[in-house]
Amino acid sequence: MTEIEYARVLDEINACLHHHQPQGAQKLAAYFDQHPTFDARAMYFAFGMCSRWFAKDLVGATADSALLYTASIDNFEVIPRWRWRDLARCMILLRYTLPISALYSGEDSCDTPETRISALQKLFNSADVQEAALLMQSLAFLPCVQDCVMQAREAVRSNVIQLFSAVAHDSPIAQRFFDDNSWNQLVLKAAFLAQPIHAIVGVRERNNAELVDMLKDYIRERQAASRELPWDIWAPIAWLADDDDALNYLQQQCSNLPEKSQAAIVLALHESTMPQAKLWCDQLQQSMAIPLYAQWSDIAALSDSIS
Amino acid sequence: MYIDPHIHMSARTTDDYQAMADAGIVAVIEPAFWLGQPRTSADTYRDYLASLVGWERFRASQFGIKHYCAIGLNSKEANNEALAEAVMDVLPLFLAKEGVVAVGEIGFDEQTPLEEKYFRAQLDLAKQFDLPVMVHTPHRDKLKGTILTMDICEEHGLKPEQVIIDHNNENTVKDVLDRGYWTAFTLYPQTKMGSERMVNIVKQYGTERIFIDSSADWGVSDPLSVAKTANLMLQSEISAADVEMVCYRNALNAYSQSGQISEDDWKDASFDQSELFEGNSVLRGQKPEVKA
Repeated sequence: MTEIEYARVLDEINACLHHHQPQGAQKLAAYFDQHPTFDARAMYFAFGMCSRWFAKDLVGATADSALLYTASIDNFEVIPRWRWRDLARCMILLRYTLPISALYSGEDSCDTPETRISALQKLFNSADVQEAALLMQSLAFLPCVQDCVMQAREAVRSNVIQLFSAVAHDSPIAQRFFDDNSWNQLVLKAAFLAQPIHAIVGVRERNNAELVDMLKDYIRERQAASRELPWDIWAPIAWLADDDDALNYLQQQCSNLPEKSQAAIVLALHESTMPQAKLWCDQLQQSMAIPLYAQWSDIAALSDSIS
Repeated sequence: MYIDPHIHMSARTTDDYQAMADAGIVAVIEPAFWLGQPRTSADTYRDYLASLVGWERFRASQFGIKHYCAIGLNSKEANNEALAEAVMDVLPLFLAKEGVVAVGEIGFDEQTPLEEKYFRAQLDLAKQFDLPVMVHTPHRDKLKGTILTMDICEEHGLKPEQVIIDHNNENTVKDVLDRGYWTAFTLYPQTKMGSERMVNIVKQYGTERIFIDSSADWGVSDPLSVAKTANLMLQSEISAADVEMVCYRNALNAYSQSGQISEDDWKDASFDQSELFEGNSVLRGQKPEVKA
């Protein structure tokens, strides 16, 4: 993985804010000038005041031309969904954590790398929902992503969907730094919260047999209570189906499922790298006349009521 | 549509949220007032404040109610100086957050020198963060405490319209109104005010700068008292326009001075798209599960 050019991201966001939010950008620039050693206390205040200094409107696609490099590393396209105050907060976090970066050549101010990490933790612990989600979404642009695993673990234990989703769907941290136990908790929690499983970052790469067992157990529990299941809970199971038992399980389940779940099984089998899977997929399609959708988003767009 | 501008939702159940939404309450303001729990550490207080701006706001949103809060150190905690100092350090972390509409609830309890010290320090914070102040008037020696509170506010350069004096009664209402302050009443069935008394106050004093709240908390209290009192006012031949002032508009006007609360927040659901908890794309096309 190539090292991100953090200073370049900082410069781009700064220029973008000056162009689109000149008043706020000037207030922030003046604040930076007043606090040349930008320590934790100065960072907390600036971070908080962004809600007063910058607009509530979404950044949208308007910033694309100013954020060429930044957009190219925005793998989960969070920036267009941010508000201007969120973009400013990301810049403040970047400015505060830049001295941690291996490429940083400037002078370090008062805070040590350890102080900087613990300041981010304090910020997370006192954050509101939007701020905490923004912190998690910002990790992709900060040189301290691996230092925030504990906070990301907390976020995916939360029942606050926005916060859960910021880690699960909008950040590389779980795929790259969660151990298997943490990973499996994340996927199960997505099912508990009825949040998309297929859209979890790294859901295919991190799939594992233990998780499949846990999902099957969860399915038994929900079925015993006659409760609904997420349509995409079948994807991790089908991706790993590589023997007759696994096929039989899916065949038996499939006949009783809504069309959306059936489509998920067929697409997952079709995408599977297991040699037999494609054959099974064809069989399923023929025996049950389930259409093969091209993408997960196509299935997600189907109405839940189709049966 | 009603606003309950003083209610401790952290102490209430989801059934309450549902009943409040059904009764027409669109927004609530939860002032910081440490739950009835041991009060020994600034860290637990910080966690409490974090839950006011985090979890509780999310919980309310699940029932279509907008949740705002006031942040402050209560007079009861002010009497433990070491704890109070530590809490004062934490407050600036929270005062600039979105949806924080006031410094509060602050004021006097026993009227000790320490209470006065931290009341004054928080008035300065309100000026620094440009926020209104929500004042809790004391249960003991109420009129004297209320007048002292207003004197101190003015000494610190706050204008009466920046300050909400809460928990008024028949004995304090005239002084508070005459000096130009927002005059709030807590409908607390057994102790503070009853709905019938409130009807009489509105008939006598009108609706300018007067509004009501439930202050419902972990004790015996009623989260529907704003809606119930509104109904009683309507039955008692108070006009719908006056009821709207007392049960909605005045509280909104008082706290919108913070710039952190606006009718658009609940009238226009698309106003802040990033707050939609259902997610932002077709990829996330599932509704959050609200447990019954």
